[in-house]
Amino acid sequence: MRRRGRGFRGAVRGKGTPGRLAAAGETGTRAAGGVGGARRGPAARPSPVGGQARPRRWGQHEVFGHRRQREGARQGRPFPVPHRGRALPGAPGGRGEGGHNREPASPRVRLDALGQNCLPRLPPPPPPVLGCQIGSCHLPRPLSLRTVNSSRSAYACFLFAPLFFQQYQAATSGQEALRCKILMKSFLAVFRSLATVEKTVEKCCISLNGRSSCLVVQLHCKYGVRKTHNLSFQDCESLQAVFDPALCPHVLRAPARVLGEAVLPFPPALAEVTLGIGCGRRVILRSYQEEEADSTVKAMVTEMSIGEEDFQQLQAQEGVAITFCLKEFRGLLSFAESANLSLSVHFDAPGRPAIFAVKDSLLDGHFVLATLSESDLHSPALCSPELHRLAPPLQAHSTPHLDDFASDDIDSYMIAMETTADSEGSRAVPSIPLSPGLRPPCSPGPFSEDHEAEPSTEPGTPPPKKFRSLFFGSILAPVHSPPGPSPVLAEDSEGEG
Amino acid sequence: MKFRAKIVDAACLNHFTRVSTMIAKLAKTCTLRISPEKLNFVLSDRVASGGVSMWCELEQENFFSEFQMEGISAENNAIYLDLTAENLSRALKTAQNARALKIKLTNKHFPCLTVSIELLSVSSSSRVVTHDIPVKVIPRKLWKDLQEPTIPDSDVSIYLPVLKTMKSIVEKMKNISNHLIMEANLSGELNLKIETELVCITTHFKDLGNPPPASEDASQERPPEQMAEVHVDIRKLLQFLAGQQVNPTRAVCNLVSNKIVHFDLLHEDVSLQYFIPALS
Repeated sequence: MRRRGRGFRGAVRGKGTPGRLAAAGETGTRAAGGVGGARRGPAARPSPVGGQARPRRWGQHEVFGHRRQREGARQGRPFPVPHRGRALPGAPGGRGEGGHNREPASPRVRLDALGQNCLPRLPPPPPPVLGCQIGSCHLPRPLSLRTVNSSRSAYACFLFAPLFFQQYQAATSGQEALRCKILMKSFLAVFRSLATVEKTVEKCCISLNGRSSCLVVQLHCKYGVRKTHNLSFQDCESLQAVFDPALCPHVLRAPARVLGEAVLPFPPALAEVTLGIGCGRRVILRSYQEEEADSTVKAMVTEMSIGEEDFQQLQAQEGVAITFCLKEFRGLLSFAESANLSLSVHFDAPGRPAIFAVKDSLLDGHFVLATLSESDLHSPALCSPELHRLAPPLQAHSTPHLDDFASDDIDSYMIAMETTADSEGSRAVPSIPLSPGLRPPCSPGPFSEDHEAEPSTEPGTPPPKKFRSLFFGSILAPVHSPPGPSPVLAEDSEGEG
Repeated sequence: MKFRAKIVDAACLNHFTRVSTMIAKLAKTCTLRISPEKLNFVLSDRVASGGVSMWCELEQENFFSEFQMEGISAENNAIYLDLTAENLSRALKTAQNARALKIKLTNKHFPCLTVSIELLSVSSSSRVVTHDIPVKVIPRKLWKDLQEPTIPDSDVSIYLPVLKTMKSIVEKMKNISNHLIMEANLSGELNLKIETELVCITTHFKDLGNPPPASEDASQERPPEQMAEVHVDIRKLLQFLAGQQVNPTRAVCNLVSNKIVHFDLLHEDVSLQYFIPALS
């Protein structure tokens, strides 16, 4: 099973505002102990580097984390990073113990949702818990809904301004922000059928009952029907990612509809996608398949290329690309499409988290997703412009056709085919697939894939492999020496005690 | 080896998409045979497919505005590719609002059939979707297994009823037994029968009509009421029927008693031959 996102750890923010993007980071230390006190094992363990190291690592930079508000034995320890697929340690029950900030019995907080349609449309990500934070200082602070997935590779935060609601009454001033965490499944079950909700619900009241530790969601429906849901919550620490879109050098922004149409050709089951800027400032989305050496059945590769004109803002150079989880992105995308908003993508180098944002006058949504960090191979491929274009392969008889397709010229007209058993044809050319010797173990980067296999003159030798960068239309000499194992930035969470 | 083709007409594109969807329903992997005049989707009677074989033929002129191919050599001017039919179907389905579609044989890490679709776009810039479908080139020595099947001399030849009706009946029968008996005669009667210990169910189709016989003698020899019957695996029949989304222009069923059932369909200009062997 793929492991991702040993990503978001580290520093702390107690307030509701996003903090700075923390510096790169971990060198494999992981705290033992941790929240529930359930952890055992050595405090710091060097990551297993070597034969077992996978060439790809999800970006693990300090993005966010927790810190106990109260001093304690475990102060400053970052959250443990659970293995993806496993439930959060102690979730839903056990997480709140030991050392976290306990609110005094919280008074009732009433929020009447004006846009009751909005909440159910929140993309339901896989994480089991939804953190709710309701500010209660002098100025009414926004309602925030935050969540993170179990492997810490995706974080979502929605901020609702008080004006979003018909009535917004936070706790008595002077108190600290109320924070609680609810099971996502239960919360979504309240708004299960959107069609029904839209037709029958007139008013939705959400209140926090501190005494019984319940989040009360009351749906006032037609004909005097009132449905009351009591969702028990737990106190929790502030869940705040450290990220700042302003620090990302690359931005692209488009109406959600454009991006929605862009992901349409991709199979629904596709896990990851690569987004980058190609030749002619075109935005390219390509399906990402992790290469498995032993699989004989290759998967289909789909690529979507969109012109710059479809974007409201495009601030990125040709050649940059990031790979992230498509499924999580689709969640935000469907919300943005239904609310008719623009979606902006802020990203940096591969490995650093990418920030997807939607913004309205009343709400603010951010998704922070981990991106795949490529090995060193990809950088030289995309950055060196002074490479020559090889002559077309020997067997190309036809003259190039005039086509109106933008990407036509990078495809080869001819392919070198399998040799035949009979001696017919002097055209015995060596067979593809690639011999492992020439191909580096790691893929050369997200977009430098287009091969033109030249038939070699002597049969039996594999054709020399050329890599062509999609973005520069140039052909690079193959990299012969495979790179060393890339440094592992966080240790293998499988080895947790 | 070279292959490039282009479709610009929306109706041709839709038709081609429908054909590929039908093939995807009939077979998981199949062979695509490209020759200067035709495209064929072939499924040979391998053990893996349970003895079922298929030969689908379409004239390339009816679909492609541009078509060029070059086989392995001048004498063997054909290309045989093994591919997962669903990939092609999925790729073509994304071409709903396409301005043009291009297919070509390329080599990107491995041999691919690249489907390049230029989409209609509101803005001035076009959007291009590219699908790289991995294919396996079949060497010349294996071509002999993938030739057009010979039509067997059938005992009875009959026109089929509406396939959708037939499909819903066979679907219900599948829950009861795996063993279906198809029988037909030259009076336009077709029966679908299942027999178990507890129950026998027969569906009778009447007045279906029979195509004219190939030769005079054949029709005179056989009494019109005599049924020719074949025992088949119901799942294979169902898979065949499920693949027919649209009712064909012409649908004929040829039965060779206790040997094989041969379906000969014509969807506008695309011909499909499907063979289901008898259960041993």
